[in-house]
Amino acid sequence: MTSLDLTTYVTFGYLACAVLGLVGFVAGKENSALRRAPFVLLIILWIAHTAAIGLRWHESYEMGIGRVPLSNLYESLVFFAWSFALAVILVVWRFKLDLLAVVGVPLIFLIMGSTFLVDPDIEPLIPALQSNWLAAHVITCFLGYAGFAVSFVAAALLLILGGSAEAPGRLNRTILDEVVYRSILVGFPMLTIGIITGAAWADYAWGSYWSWDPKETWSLITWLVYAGFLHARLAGGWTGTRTAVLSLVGFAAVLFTYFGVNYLSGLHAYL
Amino acid sequence: MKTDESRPKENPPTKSPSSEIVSFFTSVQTTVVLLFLLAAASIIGTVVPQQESIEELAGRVSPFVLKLIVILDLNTMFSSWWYLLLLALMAANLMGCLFQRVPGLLEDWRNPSGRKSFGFTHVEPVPPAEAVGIVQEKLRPIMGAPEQEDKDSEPGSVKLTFVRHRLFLLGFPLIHTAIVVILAGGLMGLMYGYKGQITIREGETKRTFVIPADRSVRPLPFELALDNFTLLRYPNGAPKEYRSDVRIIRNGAILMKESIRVNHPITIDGLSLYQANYRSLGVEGAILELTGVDGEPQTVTVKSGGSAKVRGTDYSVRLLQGLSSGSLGQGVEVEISGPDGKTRVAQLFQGAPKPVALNGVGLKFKDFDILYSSGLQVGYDPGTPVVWIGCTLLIIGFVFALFLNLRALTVVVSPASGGSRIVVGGRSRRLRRDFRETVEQALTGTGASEES
Repeated sequence: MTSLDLTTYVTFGYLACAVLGLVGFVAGKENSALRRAPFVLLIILWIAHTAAIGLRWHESYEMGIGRVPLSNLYESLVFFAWSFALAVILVVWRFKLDLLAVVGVPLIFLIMGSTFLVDPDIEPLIPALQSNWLAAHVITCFLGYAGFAVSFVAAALLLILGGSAEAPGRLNRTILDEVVYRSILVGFPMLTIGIITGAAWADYAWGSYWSWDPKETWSLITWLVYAGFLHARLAGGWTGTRTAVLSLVGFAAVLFTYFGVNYLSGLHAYL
Repeated sequence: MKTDESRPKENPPTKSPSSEIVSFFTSVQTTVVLLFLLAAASIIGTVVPQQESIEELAGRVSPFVLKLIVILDLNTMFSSWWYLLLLALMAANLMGCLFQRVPGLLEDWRNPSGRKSFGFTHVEPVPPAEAVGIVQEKLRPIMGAPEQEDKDSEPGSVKLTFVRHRLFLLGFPLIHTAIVVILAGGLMGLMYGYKGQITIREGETKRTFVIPADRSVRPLPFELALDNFTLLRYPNGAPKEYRSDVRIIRNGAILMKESIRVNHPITIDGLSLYQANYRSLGVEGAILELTGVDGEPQTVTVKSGGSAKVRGTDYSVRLLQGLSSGSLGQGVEVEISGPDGKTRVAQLFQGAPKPVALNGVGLKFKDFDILYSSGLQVGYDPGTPVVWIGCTLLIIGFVFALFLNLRALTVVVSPASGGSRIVVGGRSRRLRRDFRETVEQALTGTGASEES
C-alpha cells in the first residue's frame, strides 16, 4: 500500500467518523457506546494519518530524494489536517467536549478532501527549501494554526449556540469560552516560535531575518491579532462573545496567511 | 535594580496632564489598541507593493491613491515615519507596563505566598515539635522541602514556607522585555545595516557592490573573485543546486576559498554573502565526454575558437560551431587533428548512439560550457544578534509562563488543646482548585475541612 492509498482511506475514514459523530451526538445518550465510538474512531484515524505521513517520508527515501514531507501545498494540507485532528482529540479528551469533534471532524475531512485537487507527487527540494530549518518552521507554524483552528470552532459554536453557563455538557458556554482561550494560549507560542524559526531560516537563505514579504507580514498580522486577544482577555477582562469574535478575526488572518498570500507576490511562492 | 518597593499609588481624584500621559503608557488598553492598529496598518503594506518607485506606481493607480501613497510613504511603508512611530509607541507602552509591574513582581518574588487564594485549618493530635515533621513529610511529594522555617510571632509556633516554580514570575517580564529587545535590534538594523547586490561573471574580480535602494556603489572591504558558477539540475529539470565558488582576497592574500550556496552563506568580518540568483551570459565552449580513459577527469572542455588535447590520445580537437539536431539533440562540430597532422571534421551529439573513436578513446558531446554571472547578496546588520537574543528571551519567557505554575504555601504549626493547630495558606497561579484539593488531601487525608 502506498502512502497515497493510505491517505485516501484516512480521508474517507474522517468522513465516516463525521457521520458517526453526528449520529452519536443526535441519537446517543450521555456516555453511551454510540457517543464514545466516534472518538475512538478519530484516534484510530489519527494514528493511521500519522502512519501515512511516515510512509510518505519513507517513500521519498526509496525514491532517492529523502526529505521531510512538509514542503508543498499537498503535504502542508495533510499536515494541517493532522495537527487539527490532534488538537481536536486533545480538547475533546481534556474538556469532555464532544461537540467540538462533531464540528471539527467534518472540517478535517474537507481539508483532507481538498488534497485530491492538489498535485501529490514527491518532488525533490529546490535549493531554497534545502534547509534543516524547514521541519522546525513548518511543524511549529502548523501546530499553532491547529490551536487557532480549534479556537475558531469553539468560538463559532459559542456565537451560534449562545448557550448558557448553567447548561451541562454539550452547550456549556463556560467550557466553550475556556476552549476558545486555552487553545490560543497554546497556539500563540507555537506561532511565535514558527515566526522565529522562519526568521532564522530567512537570515540563512536570504541574508535578512525579516523582509516584510507578504507572508511574513501576514504572519505578523496574525500574531498581533492573537496578542491583542490575549491582552484583552488577561488584562482587559474580555470573555465570551467579545473574545469569540476576536478568535474569528484571528482565524481569518490565519487563513489569509496560509492561502490568501499566494495571490500576492512574495518569497514564499512555493507554498 | 533599585526600585521603589511600594506599589504604585492610585491616581488622585483630579487627574493632572502628566498622570494622564503616564496612565496612557502604562495601560493595557493602549496595548490592545496599538496591537490592532499595527495589524491594520500592516495589511496596507501587503496590498501596496513595497519598494516600487513612485514612477512605477504612477501608471497603475488613480491620482488620489498616488497622492496618498506619496504622503504616507506607502511604497516604503514599513520604514515610514508613522509606522515607526506606532512601533515606538508600542515599545514605550511595553516599557511603561513593565516598570509599573516591577515593584509588584519583586514583592511577589520575595514573598510568593503573600497573596493567598485559599486557607484552611487542621488539627494534628501530636505536639507541635512532632507535627512540624509530619507536615513536612506529608507535603514533600507536592512541595519538596520547605524554603524557610521560622519561629512565628505566637510563642511555640513554627512557620513553614514552601515555594515551587518561582521562575514562573519571570515569564511575564521576560516575554515583554524580549519584544522591546527585538524592536531595538530591528532599529539598529534600520539605522546601521544595509543590503547590497553583486553581479559577478565567472573569472571576474569585484571590489564594489551596489545598494539597490538608491543605486549607489560602495566598496567591499575585500576583493571577491568568482572562479566558477555551477547550476545542477534534478532529472526532472528542477534546480538542485546553485553554487558560486569564490575566493576572498585581501592585500593579495587569499583569506578564504569557499562555495556559496542557497541556504549556505559565508560571512567575513560581519559582512555576509548569499547566493541570490544567476544569469547565463552565453555559450563559452563545449564540454566533451571521454569514454575508455582511466582516472579523472572524464571530460574535456573546449573553448569557442580554441582547441584542447584529448586525454589518453595524441589527438586534439578544435571547436567549429554549435549544432542542434531534432533526433540527436544538441551537439557541436569539431575539427580533430591527429598525430600525423591530418585533420578531419566530426559532428558530436548528445544523443548520438556511438561515440567517435580515437585510438580506443570515445568522444561524445556532453553539454555546452555556459558563461554564468552569479548574483550575490551582501548583507550587514549589526542588529541581528540583538534580535536573536530577544527571540531567545521570548522563548524562555513562554516556557516559564506556560509550563511552570507558581505555587506557594505557608503552614503555621502552633500548640493547641489536643495537639497542634495547623493553619495553612496557599496560592497557585493556575489550576487553583486542583492545588487546594491536593494540599488538603495530603494534610488531612480528606477533601473536606473547615474553611478559614
